[in-house]
Amino acid sequence: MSALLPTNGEYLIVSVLFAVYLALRLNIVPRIGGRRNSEIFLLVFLCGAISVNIGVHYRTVQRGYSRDKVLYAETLRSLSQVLPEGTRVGYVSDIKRSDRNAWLVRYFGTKYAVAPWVLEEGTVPNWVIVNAAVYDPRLIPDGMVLVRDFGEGLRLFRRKEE
Amino acid sequence: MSGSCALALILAALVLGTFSSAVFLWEWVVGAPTPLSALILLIGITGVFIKVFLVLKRRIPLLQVASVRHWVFHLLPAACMVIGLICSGIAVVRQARQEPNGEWDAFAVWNLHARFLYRGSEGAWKGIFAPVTWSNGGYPLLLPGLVNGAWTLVGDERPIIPAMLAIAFGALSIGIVWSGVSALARDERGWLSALVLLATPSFLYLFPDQTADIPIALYMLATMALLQFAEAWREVRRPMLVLAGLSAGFAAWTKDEGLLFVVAVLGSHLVTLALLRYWRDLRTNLTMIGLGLAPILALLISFKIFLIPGNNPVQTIGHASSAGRYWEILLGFYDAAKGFGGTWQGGIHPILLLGLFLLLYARPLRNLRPMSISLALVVPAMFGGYFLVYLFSSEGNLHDYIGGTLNRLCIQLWPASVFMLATGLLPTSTATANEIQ
Repeated sequence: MSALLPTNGEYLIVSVLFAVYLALRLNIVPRIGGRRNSEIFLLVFLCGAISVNIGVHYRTVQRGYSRDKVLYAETLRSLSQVLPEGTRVGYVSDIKRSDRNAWLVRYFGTKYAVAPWVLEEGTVPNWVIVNAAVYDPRLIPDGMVLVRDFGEGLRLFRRKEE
Repeated sequence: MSGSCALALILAALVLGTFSSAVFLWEWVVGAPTPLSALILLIGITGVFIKVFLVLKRRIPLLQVASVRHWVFHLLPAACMVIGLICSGIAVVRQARQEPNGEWDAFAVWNLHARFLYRGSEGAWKGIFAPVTWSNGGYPLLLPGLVNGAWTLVGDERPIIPAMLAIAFGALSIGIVWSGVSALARDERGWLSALVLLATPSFLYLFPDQTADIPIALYMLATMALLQFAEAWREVRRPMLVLAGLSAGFAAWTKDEGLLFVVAVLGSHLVTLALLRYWRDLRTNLTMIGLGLAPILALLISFKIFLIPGNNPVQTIGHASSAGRYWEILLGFYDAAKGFGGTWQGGIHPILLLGLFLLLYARPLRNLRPMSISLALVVPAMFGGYFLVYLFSSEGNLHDYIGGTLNRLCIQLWPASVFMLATGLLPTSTATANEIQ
């Protein structure tokens, strides 16, 4: 449950600085107050606040802003080079859809690699890609032969010619 | 100077959109373009827009800088901008190197579709529209078309190209806000408006993601900017309105919410001018905007009719009578407002920054221009549209659906909103220097 108000210290500082601005604007201390000085203060305040956010972005990226995905780019490239001319290729994986991120990485990574082939879940097409963390031969029905094992859980099968 | 700069940056964005549309149309009608045909298209389109720029540049009024504020107002924002650009530039490039293939949607949708277009000669690209798992085949093709065009030009499928285009779209947005606001306001607030964008981390995170959110944000911004220019610079009113229509069309050709944007822009314009009884302006403006909009709308409609299966935004009306659904959507909007900018756990909320900015420049509103009123209605109209989309959506888990989409929808509107607030509701170039002060 997210908090109703932000809890980081920046907001406390912003509140204090805003109170200072109001004090200047209302000319509570005539020697340093007034419209001109309050505007200069507000400008410095705004530029400072902007710098804080630029720093937040910079530090976040420095810490590593990546989102848990590996595309196996080289392996997938080899796969796309082996596929002959065609339109549809089957896709089988041992990863459950409930493990959303792992499933998406493998499914979309493969789909991206084999375009313009259309990736179709199941083993109906004559060519089938197996993208499995742990390979189980039962994933592939009888009547299909291994064309190539690319490593990293990636295998290409094709239907035996009758 | 900044007026010409703003126009040049906007026209550069329009060159990208026109090139993308032309390459896609070529692929659809003639067949896959060769590097030579793509190059000829690019040179031709760039030549036309350079001519447009030169003609308009001569007619844009040259206005003197109006600010007579303390020297700190000239120095500090510019210095902050230089430091901000360096820090943000380093961070964006670093993130692009961390994610060379972009974010999920980049390789699951946008770059995937670009690959279909690039690799799928002889009609195989139409596999985009195959009804398989999460194909999202109905998404418009401005960004994939542009990536395809750039790959065709260089003759190779280099991953750096979509990354560079993504960063270019973001950089153009910041440049247009800076130069456009500077041109209209004639003071330092252009720097500060651009800095507000740079101080929105979630806006910058999207640059290297290679998704269509930043391109659509750019075209929405360009449309708003051109409409403001049309009002402020009467000498170039008609061509600016035509270009605004073209830009709005590109927003619609980038993502589906761009169509809602077109409706919001035309609807708010119609309502405002009709209520004010500016019938002549209404007829002229809508005709000019329509002239620019028509070719891209024709492309989009043809795409929707001939290439993709039906995609009705009203998926169900069953939720319309459910009070819980309305409450859930409102809660989703509240969460999105809190999370907007990516600063909830560190940093300062961008809306607060915008509030400080307005405090610095806001003056009592006098003689609000019809265009400003019309543009002020666009953003609420867009949020109204999003509300209806969520209401009529058949998504089971509405909380997750809103959580996964609304933040990005807000980011899409952010540059245009900053521009509109910095120029529309404040005295600008049509006012005298005294009024501005």
